[in-house]
Amino acid sequence: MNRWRDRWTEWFKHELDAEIMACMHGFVMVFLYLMEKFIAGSDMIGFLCALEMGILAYGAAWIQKLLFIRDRIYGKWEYRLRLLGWIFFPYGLTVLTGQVFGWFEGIPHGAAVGVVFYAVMAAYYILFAFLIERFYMRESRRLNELLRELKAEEKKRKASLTGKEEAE
Amino acid sequence: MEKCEVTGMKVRIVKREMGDPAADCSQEAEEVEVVIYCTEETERVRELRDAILAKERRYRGTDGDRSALLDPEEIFYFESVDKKVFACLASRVWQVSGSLERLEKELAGRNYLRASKSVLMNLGRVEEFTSTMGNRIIATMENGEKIVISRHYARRLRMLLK
Repeated sequence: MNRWRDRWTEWFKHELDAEIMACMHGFVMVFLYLMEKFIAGSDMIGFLCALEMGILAYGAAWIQKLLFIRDRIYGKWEYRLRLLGWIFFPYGLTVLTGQVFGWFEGIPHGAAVGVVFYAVMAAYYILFAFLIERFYMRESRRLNELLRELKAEEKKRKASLTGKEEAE
Repeated sequence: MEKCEVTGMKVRIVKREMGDPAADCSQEAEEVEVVIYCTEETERVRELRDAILAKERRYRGTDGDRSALLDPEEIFYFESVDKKVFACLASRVWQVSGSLERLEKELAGRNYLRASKSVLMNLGRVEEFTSTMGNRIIATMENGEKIVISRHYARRLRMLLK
């Protein structure tokens, strides 16, 4: 019973993460699409289009989640490949969905709007990955600083217990 | 009086009034004995006694016919596999009795941290931390082994270190 409860809790946490990411992706997509349409001379977004973007954002978020869902150690190249997948699978899905559902058909300068949209979405996914990696790098640095401080304090404490002075 | 089962060290609490002379310590003791003098045996005094005993704690590890007394400071991490608990040192693994939960309680306050459901690791033996995607932290131990600290326990690590 506990095992099922733990699994459910674990899955629920993953679902929560995916939904937060999906909200971000969805918001960016819809905002960018509307802004470009406004510049091109139209300021409407159909409900169906918004729904497609929402579902796409959710799917993209889950793809990104699944790439790093296991609690295991990835080799250097495997990690890099997964990171590239983290960027380009959602991007590929965005382009595919946009083309299949014709997001840029019937709007003035549709092709140009579409190219700009896809280019900005690529930049968004790349920048997002870069910022997350940078956050983790900073956190690693901070954790290692704290670890060094913890070890230095332990050394000092042991030295004071044994009455020996540690050489600097 | 409490006695450490493994090393035989004794710790006892003696109540005395303010101004009472300390006990005569001139007689030779056969074993190491720690005496805590206090006016009242409070929870804090008992905690101090437990902390002293905890420092003396050793674990009996077995490896087939061989056995050894393991110092928690030498142990890199404990791992639970198939309902058995193993103590992993720099280059040797010993089986120990007990559960990870019990070990976690006994080693509280000694730089031991639960890394996952099956691993209890010694922070003092960590060489480096690397934070990665998926909100996980990889701990590289001094002997080169890597342990994944899952997201749930990563939070505790961050709190402990900060």
